[in-house]
Amino acid sequence: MDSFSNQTINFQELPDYKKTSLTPIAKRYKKIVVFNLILTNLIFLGIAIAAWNFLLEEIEILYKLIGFFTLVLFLILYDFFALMAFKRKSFAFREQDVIYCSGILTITHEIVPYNRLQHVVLKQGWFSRYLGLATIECFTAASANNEIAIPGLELEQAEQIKNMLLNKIINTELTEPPFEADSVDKKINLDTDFTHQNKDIDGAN
Amino acid sequence: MEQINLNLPQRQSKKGLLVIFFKVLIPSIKSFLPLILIFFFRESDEHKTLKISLIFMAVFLFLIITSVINFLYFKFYINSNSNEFIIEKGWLNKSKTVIKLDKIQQVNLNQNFLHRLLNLYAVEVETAGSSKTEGKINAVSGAVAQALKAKLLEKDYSFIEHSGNNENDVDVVNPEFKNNKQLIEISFSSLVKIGLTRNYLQTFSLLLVLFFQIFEKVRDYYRDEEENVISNFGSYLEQNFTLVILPFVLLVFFVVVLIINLIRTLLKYNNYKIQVVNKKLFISYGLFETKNTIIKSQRVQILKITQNYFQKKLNVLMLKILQTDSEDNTSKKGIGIDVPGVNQNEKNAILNQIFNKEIKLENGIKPSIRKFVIHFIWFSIFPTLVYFFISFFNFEIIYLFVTIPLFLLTGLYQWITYKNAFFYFTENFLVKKSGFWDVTYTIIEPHKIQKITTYQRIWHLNLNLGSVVLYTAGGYLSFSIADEEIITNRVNYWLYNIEKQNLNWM
Repeated sequence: MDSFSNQTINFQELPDYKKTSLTPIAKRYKKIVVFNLILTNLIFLGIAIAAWNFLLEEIEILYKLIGFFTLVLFLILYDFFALMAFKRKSFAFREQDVIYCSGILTITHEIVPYNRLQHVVLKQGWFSRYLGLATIECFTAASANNEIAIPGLELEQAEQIKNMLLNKIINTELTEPPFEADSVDKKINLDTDFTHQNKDIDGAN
Repeated sequence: MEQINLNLPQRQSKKGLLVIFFKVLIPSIKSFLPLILIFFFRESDEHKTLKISLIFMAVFLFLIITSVINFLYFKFYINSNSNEFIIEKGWLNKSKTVIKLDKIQQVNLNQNFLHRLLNLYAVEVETAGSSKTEGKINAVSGAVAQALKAKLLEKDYSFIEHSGNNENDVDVVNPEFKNNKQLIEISFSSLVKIGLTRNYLQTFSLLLVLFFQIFEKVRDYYRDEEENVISNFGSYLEQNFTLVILPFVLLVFFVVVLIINLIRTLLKYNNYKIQVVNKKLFISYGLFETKNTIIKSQRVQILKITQNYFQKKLNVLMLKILQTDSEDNTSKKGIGIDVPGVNQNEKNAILNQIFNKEIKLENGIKPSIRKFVIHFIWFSIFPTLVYFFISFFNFEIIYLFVTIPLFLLTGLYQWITYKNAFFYFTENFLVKKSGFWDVTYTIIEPHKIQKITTYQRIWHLNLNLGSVVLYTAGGYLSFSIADEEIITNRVNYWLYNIEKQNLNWM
């Protein structure tokens, strides 16, 4: 902290990403969440019932029941957290960057500055098309699977955001980092250092 | 050097036909060998040999024809009007690869054993974007390879000079700078030092697996042969294995690990040369497979400096340079280049070239003690208890005593790892110190950050603890867990700088 205190930057004056007011995603997105949950639950229960009837004949009924109830418990917990997680999902498009907040047990803020964006994708599944919702994915040069995906945006709004982001990408012009002239002096010093060192190595060999 | 006109389309070296042939031959041998073997053992025909040799001949002929076609239709040239490097290939399926010269990230000249015999080079052109726009020429003569490399770089110089024109100082500096070459050669003694001190755990675990496999085999063998002297000895070994043999085996293990490490390092990094010109590092190394790489300093995303206790005493360390990785090609993920066995001076010279600023490690932040406590519970106390109960019910009493060293070792590991962990958030660099035996400093520059993720477990909310992950184009850096306010302040500060300065990250 001390090295920063002798500079003019005051942390209190910097825009704080935590204090940004975040917009929750569209309420209708909950329908998609619920639909997905029903589907997942049905698949898991289906597999469990099929296994009960056809595969696990030699196992005692008690163990089967224990297994089944663990699965049900797990599914209930999963559903609960997935529904809670919906409430947390919120976003903000600030002047210079985009923030997406999500997660229940782990609250995550993902932030991408606009001048690091590589490309933007607008996505719609069949159900979200029916509901008029869309997902915006913001890609950077960071390795794959690290894009920000904001679901549950109104289609119109999503289109606007996409155009705005594409505009930002086109208009971003990056400047080269400053080149320090004094490093030439350092270089010369280092050269002499090397000659010493070479002598040492020759002597050792 | 003879004059080579790279602007005209040209084929690879004629001797390169052999290289291309082997390149198609080896994978086809690999895939057909099981088939041929099955055929060989199944069929009990009298004309078996004849048939097989006929098949061989046919396949051989086919491969020769494909490689000749490959060779004839493979052409490369530089279009100096549009500043493009162009590779054409294919007879029926034609393909044309066009690479913009200023997009070229690396030019590698590689030689494997065959290349060495024929005095040829394989040229690989790597770009920053997707892996599709990547050129590879299998075999060209040394002169052509050098000319090509020079040509591809020449454009690059002009590009850099051009971009420097904005500032007047730079123009003055650049010309004299360019002639100021620097050569770092990693001496044989440094390589020996690093070879003896690195990768203990990796090699050790590999050997352990190997050893147990051999041990199983030997035991099976003895079991088959009934009562005789050797089997008696074998069962004696089995019974007293832990007590009599263990120290001896460990010693042999250690020596074998040392020797293998040493040989591997010496072969891989033989004759390691780094030439430093104008913020670029030209690296070449290798005994059987010579590798040539160029690293541009502004492409470097992450730098890792690793050193352990012995290496510190011997004044050697390992550098690893991670550049931008292409998104969809996982095999190339994080193009990392190792620089083994540099000493303090050489390290500083390389860092100076890459970052152009001095790295000061000050104002370190320690992770919260909770990190140690939780790791201690999960990775030390918990496994120890599990082991204790298993051994209590299943094994003889002697195995119970292993619990104590197990607990001590895992505990010590967690404690030292925690002691070594530090984050340094300085103005120009973000540095993470980590490791148990090999202590690593991972360095990134704030303007290379692509994305920032902060996260808080809900049970950390009241404790004001938080974590942050910083993503760059070459990998990520995570800091967990520290005071939430400090992290928020830093994140705000980094964002502010990234957004205000608009610096190029590559």
